[in-house]
Amino acid sequence: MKSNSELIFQRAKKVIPGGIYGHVAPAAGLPDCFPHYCKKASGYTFEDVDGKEWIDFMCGFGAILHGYSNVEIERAATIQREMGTVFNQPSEVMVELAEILVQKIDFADWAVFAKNGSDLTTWAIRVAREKTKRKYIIKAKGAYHGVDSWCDPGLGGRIPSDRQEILEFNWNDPDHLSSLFKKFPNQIAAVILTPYHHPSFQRSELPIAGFWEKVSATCNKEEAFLILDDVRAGGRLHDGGSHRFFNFTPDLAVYSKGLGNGYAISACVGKAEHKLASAEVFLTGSCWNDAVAMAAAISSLKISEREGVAKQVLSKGKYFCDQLESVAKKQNFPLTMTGPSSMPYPFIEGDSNLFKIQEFCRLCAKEGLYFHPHHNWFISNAHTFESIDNSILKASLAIDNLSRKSNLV
Amino acid sequence: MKNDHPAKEQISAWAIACSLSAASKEMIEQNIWVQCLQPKLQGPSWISLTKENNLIFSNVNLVCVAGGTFAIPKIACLLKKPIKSLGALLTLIMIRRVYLKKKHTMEQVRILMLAGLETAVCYLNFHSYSKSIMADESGKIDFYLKEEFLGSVSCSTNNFWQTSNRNTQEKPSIVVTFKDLNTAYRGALGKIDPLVDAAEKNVLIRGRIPLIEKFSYISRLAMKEVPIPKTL
Repeated sequence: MKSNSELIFQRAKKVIPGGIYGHVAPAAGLPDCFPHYCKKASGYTFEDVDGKEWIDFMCGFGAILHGYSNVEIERAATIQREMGTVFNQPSEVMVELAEILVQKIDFADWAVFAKNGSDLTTWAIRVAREKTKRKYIIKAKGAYHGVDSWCDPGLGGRIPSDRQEILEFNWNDPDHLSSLFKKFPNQIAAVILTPYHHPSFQRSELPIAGFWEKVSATCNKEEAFLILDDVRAGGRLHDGGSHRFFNFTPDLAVYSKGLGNGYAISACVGKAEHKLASAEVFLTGSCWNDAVAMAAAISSLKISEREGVAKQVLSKGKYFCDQLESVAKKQNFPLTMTGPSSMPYPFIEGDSNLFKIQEFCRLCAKEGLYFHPHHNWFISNAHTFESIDNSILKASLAIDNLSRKSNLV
Repeated sequence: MKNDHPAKEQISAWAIACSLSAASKEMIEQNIWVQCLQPKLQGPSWISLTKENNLIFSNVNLVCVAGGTFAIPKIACLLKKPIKSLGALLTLIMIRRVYLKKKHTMEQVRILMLAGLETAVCYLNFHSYSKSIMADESGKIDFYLKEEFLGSVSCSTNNFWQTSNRNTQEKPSIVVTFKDLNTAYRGALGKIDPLVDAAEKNVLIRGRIPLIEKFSYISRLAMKEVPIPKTL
């Protein structure tokens, strides 16, 4: 008998290419044990369409910072929704949201809004090109900045010119970055980077000592923009932006995932000196003035500030990572949690082909834990220490089962 | 074959030749009477399917042959060793029959899988966009039908991709398991939907996902450019 997930997928594949696409495609995870569809979610748990409840450690791939269906944010959204969502003109909440971001983010003098991270990472590099009148953009190899043709990780629909002006350097290698500036003198418009390196399918890498200092100095010297893609990490490392966590100052920064706690919104903030250039680069979208998402974002930012959410999720994440590593160590399972504790990526020594992490996550799924084998996990502020203890207990059972399986490739 | 380097415009024809060769070798392994096809480039416009150069097609004609259209090889070469030439032509007919066989068998799938993998490998090695996609990749991909090994693709130290029908001790980077004959048949012909078939558990993939994503994209690209008998 087919599950509800399977039945819905059978309908989906007839009318949607691939049935489910993108990062949530079953093929990107563990299609044999993860549900294809979710029914509802609250706090740190979600229920799939077959009625199974999961303890969640993906938080909508980072979009949920305060927990699913946060009461305060939902109330703010509901109040705005009753007045309307998208109008002919922007609503006052847009101005209020920009004011809050400018007040919260130390280098920010202005803000613009869109719906997805990609909308604004792409716009940000165009602002840099407008201001500098240069064409090249440098990014870190393997870094994800969105779905536009200059950066998407897929293979289809590309033409050679898409990436002709995109250069890459190895993360944590500022000398490599400098060499690109030497190779293309006065031609680099911007360096776009995430606050730390979080490629999929690989362990996360924090910046080495002096990395950001050198990158900032190089960009300053070469008069190139330093654009921070804080889409994934924003709000999970520092309430004032991840640059504060690593102590550097970008020219522009882009936020999205945690900003609206599940409501589609992204923001780019920038220094005053780039305000004129930014106004020259056309920016709009059908529903980008969505007042409901903006009201949700205002509420989300207020909670973050009031409750010190970044510190909270880092602290809960540290407890989670320490406990999980400790349990794993006791069972001789070489698991290391890499990256910041609020969004850790699990790495198993000697598992470059990912067989063990896949099996670990598969066994955890049986225990009702939603651990993704290929993407960093996320801690939300709805996670409690009790929920973490409960999860560690379940993970421990999975590790125990895994250690009995000696035939893993 | 390994040292041959096709011109840009003959990659699809060369892929066909290599694929036919792989099919003939696997058929011989299965004790089916065919001639072992050993393709050789004959300049940028011609490809010989045999060691003795008695069955030579132009690139265009070889593509026609693969697509099931009638095409004439170089007559003068054909007549040099008529018996051997006839054997090679019969081999082409036998391979075509394998493709068109409606009731799928393990033997058929194994032949077609190796032929299909060889097509993809040709693109991995010679097609510039495909090469650029695989530039940072290495490792080994094993293909199974349930528990039965079908074949593998691996990258040697000199960055040359190759197929094998032997299940070696070398650890794979990816294991692709087809759930039944029909799925494996579709897999061999490049007709797998990477999203739908994975979601429906028709294909189980374990291991380094980015490697199989790249390989399967190139495989689909190759299969679109290289005609196969239209059976689906």
